[in-house]
Amino acid sequence: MSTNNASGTPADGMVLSVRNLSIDLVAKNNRKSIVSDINFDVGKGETVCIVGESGSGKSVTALSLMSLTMPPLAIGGGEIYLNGQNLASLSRLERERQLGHQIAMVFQDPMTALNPVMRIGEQITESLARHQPELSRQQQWQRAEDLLQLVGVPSPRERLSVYPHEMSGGMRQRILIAIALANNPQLIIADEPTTALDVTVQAQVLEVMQEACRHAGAAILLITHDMGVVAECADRVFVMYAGRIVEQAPVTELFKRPRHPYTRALLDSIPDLHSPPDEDLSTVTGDPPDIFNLPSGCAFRTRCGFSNGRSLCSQERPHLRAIDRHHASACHFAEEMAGVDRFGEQD
Amino acid sequence: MAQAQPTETVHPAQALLRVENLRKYYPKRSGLLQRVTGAVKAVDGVDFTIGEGETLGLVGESGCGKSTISSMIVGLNSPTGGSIHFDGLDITNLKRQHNGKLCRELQIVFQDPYSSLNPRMTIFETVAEPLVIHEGLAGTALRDRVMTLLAQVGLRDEHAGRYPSQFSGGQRQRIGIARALALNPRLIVLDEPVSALDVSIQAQILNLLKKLQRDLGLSYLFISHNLSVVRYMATRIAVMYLGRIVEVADRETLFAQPAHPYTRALLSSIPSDDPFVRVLGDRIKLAGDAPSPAAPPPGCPFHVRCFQAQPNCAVQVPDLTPRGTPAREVACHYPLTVSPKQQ
Ligand SMILES: Nc1ncnc2c1ncn2[C@@H]1O[C@H](COP(=O)(O)OP(=O)(O)OP(=O)(O)O)[C@@H](O)[C@H]1O
Ligand SMILES: Nc1ncnc2c1ncn2[C@@H]1O[C@H](COP(=O)(O)OP(=O)(O)O)[C@@H](O)[C@H]1O
Ligand code: SF4
Ligand code: SF4
Ligand SMILES: [Mg+2]
Ligand SMILES: [Mg+2]
Repeated sequence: MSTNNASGTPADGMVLSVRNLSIDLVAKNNRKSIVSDINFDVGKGETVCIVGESGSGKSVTALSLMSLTMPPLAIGGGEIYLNGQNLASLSRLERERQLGHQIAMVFQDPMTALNPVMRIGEQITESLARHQPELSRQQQWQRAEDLLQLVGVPSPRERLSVYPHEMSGGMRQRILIAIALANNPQLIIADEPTTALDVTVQAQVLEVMQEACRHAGAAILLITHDMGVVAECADRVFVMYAGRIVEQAPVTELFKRPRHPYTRALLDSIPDLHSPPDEDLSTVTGDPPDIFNLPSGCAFRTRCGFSNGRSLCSQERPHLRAIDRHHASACHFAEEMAGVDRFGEQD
Repeated sequence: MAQAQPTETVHPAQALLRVENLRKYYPKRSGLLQRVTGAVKAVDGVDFTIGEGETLGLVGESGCGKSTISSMIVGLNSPTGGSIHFDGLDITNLKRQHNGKLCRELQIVFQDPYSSLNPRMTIFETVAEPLVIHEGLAGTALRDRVMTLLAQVGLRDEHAGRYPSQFSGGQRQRIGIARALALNPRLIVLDEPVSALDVSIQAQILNLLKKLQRDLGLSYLFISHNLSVVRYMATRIAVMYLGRIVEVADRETLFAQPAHPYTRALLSSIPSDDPFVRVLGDRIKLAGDAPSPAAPPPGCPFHVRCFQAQPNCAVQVPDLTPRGTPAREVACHYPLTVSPKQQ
């Protein structure tokens, strides 16, 4: 599968293809792009993770895929293809129908996504009634119970009649996943679904989500800032920095041989269970970038330990380009990083 | 073997902070009239010590009582029972604002660098305030001290005149640390100090905290729900569950041989750092959700979820007890390194 295809056509057999997408912040008399040049594909049944620091554009990208971009933000350009079909070519109604059928979203905070005054069962059956009107009322309730079973909610039948506030955070997140799966979508977009959860609950929810999606054949686009979640779940990874994808690779490739200095610095700076406590952690120096005041050339330049002040870095913006068949990087000097292997010899 | 007298203790020889049987019960209200119908046992009998220059890590899942403990230690919340001694002085019921020693020597840095700074005060004013109030500093002496503090946390002179809104999360946390350092504290309570920060910034703050500890001989109570971060920062670690400490051991012992079933389950839920070796599939899966501190189960608070539970666990509360070598304390009738038959 190609990692990067900016040619403006969707790749074959992909659930989702995004081409040259940009998202603008629209003010009275100017527009500024906060997300640019987004190109990627998600294949059937794949788990793809988007990582990046706060403000790098993960959530606005995810929302734009669902046509949920709200003023002052607007899609500035580019195309989104769902199963090869350009969403822009559809009428608004048809687009909403397609999106509702094929893609479902799971948010970080399940409390805001659930209706607090509606019982769980009603929330699930309502969604079923909207998208699968052919189901009888009894079929709807049976399906709702099956869904709760699928996401590992104990005593599912009884849980159908409780309110969201009567459940724990982890249980609510499972309900959201159940609702997301209700209409057999081909893709679930989950924006930090476990960030608010404790590690034991996070592990449960990630397992439930992956199992349920595998069972239903759905792909997952998982947004997270937690590299541990990425290491555990991802097939492929997109790394975002300052509104652009700066690296794209299969997860093992990315961790073993990162080809962008930002990815490398990020991976090295996270304390893990092997970090020697007596040594300083390596750091990504400097502050996260101000999206409206980016350095010329490469946006990572002022924090990059790899540039050594080379003029190309300040003169020319590096575009995401294929380094090998499955690996793309937006660094002028990505090839020079080829020798770096984070895990030592272990091919 | 199980009953052998411990030859070592997990406690430091000289405790700077000693917490004994500390409790905090909040009134539980229910019904339309919000009558008090019981107690939320947020902290229910906690003992620990922190030595001079030491970092004690406190881990546990959200709601287990970590912040309640930290607020009682720094005198922002009054305990229901038990005692807190700081440098030999009983500070259990001292109000923070009424005691100079507490104000100077015991400081806290909060999780949220956005809400913990006064938005209407410049950075200079924020850091200078404790110096003006407690040391009566003014003029150049004040200025010099503030600038030294800012430099110590990696901020520059020109930052002094700016307001919190002009800083990133990591910079705000540096400001909070500078303020905590102003009166030369001996113990700083760090309640989730990096949890709200981007991963790329966390390492900077963790390095800074370690450097300050080396340079100034500080003691830390380091609270976090991130076990990898606590392992990196703390030499000794206490694990909490539902208002109690269930295990205390030094870092190596805790991670290599967790003895409490809950510690074992918690450690097994840490995601891998290596996609070649995924670990969550093999984790210990706990039954059900954590019970509420408003209705803790009888006996061992963990027994309803414990894979090791025996009938008496539902009846008898296990106390935090020293267990064998290497030194550790465990609150469990059947700790994992000791087989039940040997008891
Ligand atoms: N409604 C809005 N109005 C103006 N700017 C916005 C709006 N929503 C997002 N932005 C800006 O767009 C950029 C990307 O935001 P986004 O929410 O996608 O970040 P993110 O990567 O999801 O971050 P986080 O990890 O904090 O969730 C940021 O600079 C943000 O400030
Ligand atoms: N002011 C309060 N009134 C009533 N209950 C409280 C109050 N503060 C905390 N609690 C309860 O006490 C328990 C412990 O809370 P906390 O110490 O904040 O946990 P942690 O910091 O470990 O997440 C929780 O169940 C919480 O809901
Ligand atoms: S292009 Fe230059 S500044 Fe940007 S990441 Fe590569 S080396 Fe660093
Ligand atoms: S006392 Fe019993 S229930 Fe509690 S942790 Fe130990 S074995 Fe489990
Ligand atoms: Mg976001
Ligand atoms: Mg807390």
